[in-house]
Amino acid sequence: MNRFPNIYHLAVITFKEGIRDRALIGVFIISLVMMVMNVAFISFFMRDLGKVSVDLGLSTVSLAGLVLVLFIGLNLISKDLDKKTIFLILSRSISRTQYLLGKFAGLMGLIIMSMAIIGLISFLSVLLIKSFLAGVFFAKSFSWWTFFLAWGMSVVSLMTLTAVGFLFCTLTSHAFVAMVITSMVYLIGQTLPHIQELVLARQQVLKVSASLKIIIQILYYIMPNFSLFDFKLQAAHGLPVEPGHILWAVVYGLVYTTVCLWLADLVFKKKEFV
Amino acid sequence: MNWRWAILIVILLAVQAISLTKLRVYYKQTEDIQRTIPLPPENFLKLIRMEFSGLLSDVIFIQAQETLGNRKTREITPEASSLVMALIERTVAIDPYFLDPYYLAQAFVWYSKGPDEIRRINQLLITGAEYRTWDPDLLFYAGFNHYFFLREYRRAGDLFSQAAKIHGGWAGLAGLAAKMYQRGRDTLTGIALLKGMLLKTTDKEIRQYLEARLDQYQKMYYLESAAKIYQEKFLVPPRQIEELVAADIIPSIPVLPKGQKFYLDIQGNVDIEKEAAPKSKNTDK
Repeated sequence: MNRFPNIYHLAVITFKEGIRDRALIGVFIISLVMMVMNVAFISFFMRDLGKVSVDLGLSTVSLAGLVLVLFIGLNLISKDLDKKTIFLILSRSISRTQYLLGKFAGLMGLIIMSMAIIGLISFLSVLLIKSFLAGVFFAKSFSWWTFFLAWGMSVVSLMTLTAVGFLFCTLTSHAFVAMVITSMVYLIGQTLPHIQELVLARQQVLKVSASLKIIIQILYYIMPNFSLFDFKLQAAHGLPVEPGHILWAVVYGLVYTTVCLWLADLVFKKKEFV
Repeated sequence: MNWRWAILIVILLAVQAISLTKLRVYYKQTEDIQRTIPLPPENFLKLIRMEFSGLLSDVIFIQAQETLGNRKTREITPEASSLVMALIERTVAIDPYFLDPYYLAQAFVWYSKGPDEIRRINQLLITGAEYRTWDPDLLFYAGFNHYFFLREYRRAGDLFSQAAKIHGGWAGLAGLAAKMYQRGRDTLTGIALLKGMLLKTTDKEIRQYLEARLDQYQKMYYLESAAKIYQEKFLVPPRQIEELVAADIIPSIPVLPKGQKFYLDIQGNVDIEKEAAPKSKNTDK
């Protein structure tokens, strides 16, 4: 009966705990500096100033989100396991599933709030450049809708990464190990689609054995494909985005997140805390 | 105690300044060595770009500009030239929609050492146009290079005509394409292009411009055909356009609306006098 209040309270606690983290202030300061730099950075270019400002703005959002998940987010989970505070929580009428979901919801709240602030700073820097400095150098088809879409898809990407991080946190119980493995998965998820393209290209650039091709194909379906959530190029150049692309990317992100959380729950339920 | 600290800080700052000046020499040396190191291949860059392809392409492009701007003399050494081209090619491999590298490549044509380098730049521009389908500029640059540097008029005509067909493109491109086809002795293709453009154009001013061009090239084709008949008949090409009338091949030389006149150039091509007739109108008054 108290399933949802429990999850809600845990989420609120996790959120508040995350806000207190000093690293978060560091992330905001770096983002602010990057956005101020945006104005100076565009002066190195000749024509495509709009593209460059959007590139830097959205890349800062992605980078800050990544740091947030890997260095703050995963720490919030592992801290309970490391410091054994999990005993205090689980000794109450909170199930392990509720604990995981509460933590995940709290962390997502923190990520969405931080991304909204960083996204707003990014939006303001691009708006400043578009309105006062280099409006004519923006693509004619540039739209704020694609800009915010790219921001939103970054959030979906971070949600998927957080779920992957959760899985490894429950498997390893150590923040550092989980962070390293999650980072590796992120790198693989970003590069694997290109490796697959290279390996399966009709005009063979690399000589690859048949077995390696099969392994790469299998990995392609198992590992998260983070490149699917990247809409920064479309936002920067004002390129059209197919509604199907957005829909399937969101569906993919949600399904992958659900599967990772479910696996994390399975592991977590069988975990013995000593 | 405080003045001791102040002296120490001044000394430390002085030492730091001296070491920086000394290190600058070594830095310059390593910079020269770095320029000779081959760049990572395009596929490797595509692999490591992750979700930051836009930012990576920006950074590589700054390097290309830096290489061009850092040269010691006005002349560009072959090493610097190939490095700039390689950097531009890598920039567009990562972000093929990025306009600035194409701009720099086009500016770089003036420093190019020969037709092979111009063809390499043109290939880059044409590939870029495949991505930037809304932008007639890249095709225009490629067409210009074929016309001005390579003297390949028909290819230039093809590129100008492709640029003219892009929505929002400059209407004059169709006229330019027709001119190139005419220079490449393929006036009929130019006429076909202008007719096609007229069918799709509703803007009154652009229609007037295209109709004027069409009229001009139809008359030029008429004169070219007459010149061909003359050559077949007398086994020598006509030296002056009036010879076509004198030989009874055409009844009269067509006239252009603004009083401009047709003439035959040294190669025997039909062309239009650059001097416009309005001057004579003034004298008439």
